[in-house]
Formats: sequence, structure tokens, C-alpha cells
Amino acid sequence: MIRPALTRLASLFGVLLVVSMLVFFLGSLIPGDLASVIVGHEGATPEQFERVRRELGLDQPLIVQYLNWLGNAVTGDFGTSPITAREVSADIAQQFPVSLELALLCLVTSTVIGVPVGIKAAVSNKGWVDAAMRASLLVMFSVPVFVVGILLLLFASAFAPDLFNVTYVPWQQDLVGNLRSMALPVATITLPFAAMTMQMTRSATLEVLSDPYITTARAVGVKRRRVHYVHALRNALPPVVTFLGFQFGVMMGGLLVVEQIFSLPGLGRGMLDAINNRDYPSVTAITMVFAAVFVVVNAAIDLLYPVLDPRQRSR
Amino acid sequence: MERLNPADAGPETRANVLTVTDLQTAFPTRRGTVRAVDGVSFDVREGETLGLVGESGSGKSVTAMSILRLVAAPGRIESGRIELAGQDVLALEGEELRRVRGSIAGMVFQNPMTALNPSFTVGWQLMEALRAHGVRDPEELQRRVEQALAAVGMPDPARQLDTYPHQMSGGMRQRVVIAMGMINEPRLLIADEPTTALDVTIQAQVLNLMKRLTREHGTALLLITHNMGVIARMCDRVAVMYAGEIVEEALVRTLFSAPKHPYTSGLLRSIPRADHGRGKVPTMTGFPPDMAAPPSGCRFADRCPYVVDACLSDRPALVEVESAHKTRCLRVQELGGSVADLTVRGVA
Repeated sequence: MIRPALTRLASLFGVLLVVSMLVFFLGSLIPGDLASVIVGHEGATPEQFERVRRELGLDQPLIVQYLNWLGNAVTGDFGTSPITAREVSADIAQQFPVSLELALLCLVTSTVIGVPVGIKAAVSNKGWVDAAMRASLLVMFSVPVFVVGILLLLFASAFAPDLFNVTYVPWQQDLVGNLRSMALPVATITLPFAAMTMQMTRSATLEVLSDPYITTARAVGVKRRRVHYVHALRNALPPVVTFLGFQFGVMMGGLLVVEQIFSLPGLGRGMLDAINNRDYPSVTAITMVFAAVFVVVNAAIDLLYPVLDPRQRSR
Repeated sequence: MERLNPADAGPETRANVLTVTDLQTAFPTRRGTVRAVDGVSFDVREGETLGLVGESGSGKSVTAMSILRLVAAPGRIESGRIELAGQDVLALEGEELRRVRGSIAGMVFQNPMTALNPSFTVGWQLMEALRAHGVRDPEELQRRVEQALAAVGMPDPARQLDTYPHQMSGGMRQRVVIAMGMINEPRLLIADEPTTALDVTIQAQVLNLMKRLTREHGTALLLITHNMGVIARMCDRVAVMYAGEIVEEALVRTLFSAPKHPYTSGLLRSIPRADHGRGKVPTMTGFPPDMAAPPSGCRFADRCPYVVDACLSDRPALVEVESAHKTRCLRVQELGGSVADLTVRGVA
């Protein structure tokens, strides 16, 4: 248990290192640099421009720049944003909890909805429940997130304007107010993610339900629901959990649109703003955070496997 | 469990624990309905061992699954009557049916590698079988599971509780499956090819174990197999299935010494025997009929060496030709007491 965890940890850092190189060097391919953002395009003399470049170390070879950046990044220092003039890490520290909360809430809701419904659909395979569920699933998949989000926003403001907060409230400040500001964005993303979770659970459960040990459990008189929710689900779980972990990574990084619609000050919006403003340090840093979350969650899932499946435990 | 051991009573006085009457189980397929079990009737008496023998596809496993209504959809029991310890199984619903499963009739499945849930310990699964029938007390659960494991000859039962199926050998797993079938002290154990998936050396041990256990507890045994050797060693009576029908039913001794159906006789000839020396084992030619469109006459007709025109048009009934000996053959009187000595067409 310890050794695989350590190797896993090592490879995790390896992946992050590669990501950092990609992000850094690809970023440097974009025409213009941080100095041009700071100095601006008009009215700056070439001398001013060169001075800023020197101060930022942009006159040095790319590899030296990268190593400098990496050395700082390891200590959590991603530089200063030319736009907000604040430390990038301070911005991220504010944005991260918002996105994390959003992703966690979505993970919970799509699991709570998707898993039981998926089992139900598998059990009634080809029955009307299954058919109805698969039809609504198709709809939930097909409608783009920005359409659902805007529709929800419209409906909420028309029919229940007091129920939801349109401006973000941090949970440390007011938990209920926070949930009221999170409800609509969570609902928006839950729709497609719950649909995918359901589909995944359905196919995993279907596969397991035809296994002989399910017949064994039925033959010995175990209750139907218990056969489905304990005996079958336990075996259908590994692929579902893998999928949920993957989803979580996608959610953290893929909430740009939703955060924009509902003006949530999360990482996604931070990313959009940074790209629009050519705020290079922020773009690089947020990308690294996304990558780190993705890699860490997937590593955690890998470590969870032996817990879920006894056959993968080393004796 | 204070029950009079039915094995002590004479065979005539024993009551039936299972009576199957005219059972039909069908599967819809693209080519039409396949009646895998087509009008099967038999009974199992308290404490006796009935063998159900036949080749793959003869409907013996579907018969076994039908008894506890475990036939997987889209398979369906179309008609017939199954009476298990006085209860009409086909009339039971929901909870009533669930309570019968495991407690009145237990099952042992063919493949111990897949019959146990890989995600739970052996102890948990056995306890689950007890919990399904209302045992709640943790100490009682533990005690009875250890007892059950000891009864099937598991070394160090207390330690096996935390073992996962994949950590055990096939033979050990099958012992667990048997323990699970027997743990609620059913009156009938249905064993579907219980040794087919096991090494030959383990087969005898498992068979002996089942024989001893059912005898000790007075449990009746319905043993499904394709192996005539297993029948000879284990059973009191035997029913031979072919193409969804029972074609012959007799006491084991009678069946082996004087089979009355050409199919049974062919089966007996194809048992490899050490004293036959080297050479080919005789085999039957041909294949069982297409069950989506079974012949209207005798289903064995096109493989039968004694076939006459009438066999192709008239479907023979299962008739009792001697006491406790039934056969399904039009020519049974003509062919005389036994067909065993006659040469069978197509046998090398």
C-alpha cells in the first residue's frame, strides 16, 4: 500500500513538471509578452520597453526564464498580475474555494441523482423506466450548458426572484446565502453530469447484473433491492468512481461558462479574464492549478481501487 | 433442527418435497419461441437423491432454475405446476417467493469461480444468506457461519470468515457455495453441475461431501449433471432429459442394467470404460433437434437406430412400463425388456 502510493506520488510530480513546461513554452510562442502588456502599445518608447523587459527578466534565454519561474512556482509564488497588481497566488487563493465548492456540490448532486437512477434504469432494462430515462438523458446531454444556465436564470428571476442570490456570497460569511447563490449554477451543470453519471452507472450495473453471483444472492433469498444496491452496486462501482473522478477534474476546469453566466468569482472566470487581458502569469498559474487538481484526483482514484476491489489488494 | 431423518423411512412412505408437473419454460428468440423445458414432470421425495441427466441444451439447467423461479428474462415459465414442500411456487409473489428461496430449497451452482461475489468476504456472504432469512444476532451469525464452514470441511473456519473468494482454490470455493446452499437448512438442495468446473481429483471430494451433508441433514438432493458416473455414484433415482423432455425415469440400478429408451442406452454406451481397453469411445451420431422448431414426432427419432415411420409422426408419451420405471418410446413393448444389448446404429 505504501510503495505504490510513493511511486504514484513521484509520477504525479513528473506529470506536473511536463505540464509546466508545455504551459510555459507554449505561452512564450504567443506574440507579445508581459512587458508589452504592462507598457502598453501606444506612447511607450523602445527604451522604456527594454527597461521593463530587463526588470522582468524577459531579456534572458527562455530556459533561464523557465527555471526562474519554476523555482518561484515551487514556493507558491507565481508572480504579480500586471492587471490587478496583486500577487497571482493571492487571486487564486480567493478563486479556488469558489470553484472547488461548485465542483464538489456538482459532484454530490450528480452522484446522488445519477447513481440510483442508473441502477433503476439497469434493473428495468428495456422497460418503460429505462426508456423514459434514456430519452430525458439525451435531452440533458444535448442542450448546451449556456442555454440551460440562461434559461434557469430567466425562470428564476421571473418566478422566484427572492429565492436565489444573483451575487456570490462566500460560505464563510453566510452559508444559506452561499447555497442560494450556488443553487442555479449547480443545477445547470448537474443536468449533463448527472446524465453522464447515470449512463455510466447503468452500463456498469447492467454488466454486473448478469454475473452468476447475482443469481447466487437471489437464490439464497436476499431481498431484491439489497441485491441491486449492495451485491451488484459494489461490483459496478470501480468504473463509476473512475468516471466521477474524471468528471471532477473536468468540472474544476470546465466551469468557465457557468461561472461567467452566474458571475461567480471562481477560477474559470479568473482564467477568462486573464486570457482576455493577456495576463500571462495568471493564465500560467491557473492552468497549473487545473492540471494539479486533475492529476491529484486521478491519483487518489487509483489509490482507491484496492479499497473498492479486493482482488487488487496485494496480499 | 429436530426433524425426523426421512432417509430412515422406507422410500414408499416418504412424502414428496418437490413435485413438478408439466413444466414449460420458454425463451423468445429471433427465430421463434424455444421451449427449453417442454412438459417436464417429476418428483423428489424427502431425503432422496434424484439425478437429472442429459447433454448440454437438454433443458436440465433451465428446469433447475425454474424451480426457484430464477430463470433470467426474457426466459419465462409458461405453464405447469411446481409444488415445493406443499407450496405452489408459481403462485407465490414477492416476499413469499423470496422466503422460499434458500430456506426450503437451496442451490449450488456450476462454477465456483463466478458463483461467489468477488467484492465481499466469504464470511459476509454466508452471513448474508442467514440475514436474508431473519437471523440478526451477530454472535449467532458468526457461530452458524463457522459451523457451516466446518461442516463442509474448511480448515480453520474462524479464519476463513475474512477471506475473499479470489484467495481460495476452486475446490474450497465450491465448499463455500455448498455451505451457502445448506446454511438455512433447506429440505431440498438443487445442485446444477456442481463438480463440472472442478479438477477431477477435487470432484470426488466434493461429491462425497454433498452426499454426507444431505444424508446427515435428511436433505433431498436434485443433482443435475451430464456425467453418468456421477449419477451412478450419488443418486437413488434418475431422470434422463432430451430436447426439453424427460425420456426415461427409473431407479439408478434399473436404469444402468436395463435402460428402456434408445437415448439412455446410447448415453450409457458412450461412458469411457477402463476395461474396454484402447480405442474409440462409442459416441452417438447426429445432433439434438432445433428447439425453435422441434419435430412433431419423437424428438430422438432422427438419431434413433430403431426409428419407424410412426416415430416421425406420433409424439410418444412418458408411460410407466414397469413399477417406478417410465419411458417415452413408441416401440418400448416391441423392443422388449432392454435395448442395451442391441447394436446401435452409428456406434463404432
